[in-house]
Amino acid sequence: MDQSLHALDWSILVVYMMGMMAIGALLARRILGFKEYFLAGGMLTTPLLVCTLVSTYYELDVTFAVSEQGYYYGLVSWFWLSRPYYVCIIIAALLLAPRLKRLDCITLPDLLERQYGVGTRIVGALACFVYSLPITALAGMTVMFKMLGWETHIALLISMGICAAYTAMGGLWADAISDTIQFVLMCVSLAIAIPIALKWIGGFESFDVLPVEHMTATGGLGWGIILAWTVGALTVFVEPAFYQRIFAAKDAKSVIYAMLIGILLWAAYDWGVTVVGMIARVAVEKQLLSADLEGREALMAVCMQTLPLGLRGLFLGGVLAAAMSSTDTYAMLASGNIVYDIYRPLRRKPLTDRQLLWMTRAGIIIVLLLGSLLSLWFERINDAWLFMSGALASVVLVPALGAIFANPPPLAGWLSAMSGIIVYAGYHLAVALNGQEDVEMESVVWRVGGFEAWREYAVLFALPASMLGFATGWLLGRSEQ
Amino acid sequence: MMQWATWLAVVILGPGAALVFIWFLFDLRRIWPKR
Repeated sequence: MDQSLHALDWSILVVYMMGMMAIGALLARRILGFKEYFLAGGMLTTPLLVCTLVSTYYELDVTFAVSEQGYYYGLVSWFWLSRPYYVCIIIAALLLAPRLKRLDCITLPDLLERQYGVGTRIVGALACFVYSLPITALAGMTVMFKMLGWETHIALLISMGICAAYTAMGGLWADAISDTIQFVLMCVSLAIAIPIALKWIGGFESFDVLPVEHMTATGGLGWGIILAWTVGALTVFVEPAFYQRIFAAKDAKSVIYAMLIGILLWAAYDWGVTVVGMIARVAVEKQLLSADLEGREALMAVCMQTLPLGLRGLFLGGVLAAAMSSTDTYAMLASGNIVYDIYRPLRRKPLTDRQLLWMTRAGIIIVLLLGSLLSLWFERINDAWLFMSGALASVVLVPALGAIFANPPPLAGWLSAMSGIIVYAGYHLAVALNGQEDVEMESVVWRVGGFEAWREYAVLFALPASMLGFATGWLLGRSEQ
Repeated sequence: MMQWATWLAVVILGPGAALVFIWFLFDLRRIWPKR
């Protein structure tokens, strides 16, 4: 891969980094208390929400993993990995957002405590913490730096340091305002890259060299895998970043419009990244790219190969922006989970607003260090994403939706969260201990009799267990009342 | 279908995203009114 950067490319990257720091420093002066810091004072309007929602939800797991799936399987990546999310986002915008906005909550575990008590709050906060650790974004950055031949540790430290600095200083204000710049960078750079890359392979006709399955909606994949991908979309209903932005919105209308406009941009971005993944596959078939190109390198390889000097800086800024806009949000959310959601209610002496604010700021730095260590654990970014989103869906989805749409007794939430976490952890443990590596699918499978228990299926067992726990808890809790 | 979907994506990501950003810039005055 051509890794060379022109002075102009470097200038764009340096200006971008300096700009992020300046935003954090400027906005730090606006922060007066924890709510101002964590929810931007509840002042976010539609365009700001569009930018922050779209860029935050795009980690590098999307930019790399969707292009990776596009490279290996084709259009199925958009139809079944991405499209289910849009359906869930429409439902969340129309049904969840107005109800949530009426509640006086700061975080999702606040909602759980209102309905079920502190115990469910803590279990839910732990699942949110696992989900919010910025592992995938940091793993994506590492992959990108390796591909560019940069000194990975130094580049990661600089990016993380800048993220930590502006987020710790300016909270959600800095996060949201920096997201607007990151939003433009990531969208525009991809919009420029697509036509250039298409021209490079010889236009749309060149897709004829791809396997037929690449152009079909299912990509020749089994329905079990497709179902596991689809179930991942349910995390939208308990996505902590969505909740934070709903609580931070100026009013319900602002966030509903933002989510609906966001779907157009998400769909376009997913489609673009999938197409670039397929372009990489065509380039390999035509020997324009090396035959040993790995799927996760598809996007970077195509863009670095085709973009002229100068535009590469814009593209790299865009990719880095996609990672940083998620890293900052999730680092703040994970820190909030530990300080505000878990430590604060368990402490005998109440925390002052100032203590809460400074502990959350310190927590961001710790979370980023922990996230970067854990990012080394997972071999594929998509594995990390499936594990984390599965944990969130298994534990929080049923109790949270129950609390929003009904009035279940506390025992329902507690049993639901506990059943989910036990089955989810148990399934993963059982497959890890008894399963075997499957090289072709790059996964682990435990074959019991005629049944194949793939690692990805954990949520398919944990979610029904959580539902069963919820129903049992509701019946027992109601008879106790 | 693939062709028009790809060009539509390019239009949404390029001019579309730029328009949202301009909307945000105009909206800044509403978020932070002059004191």
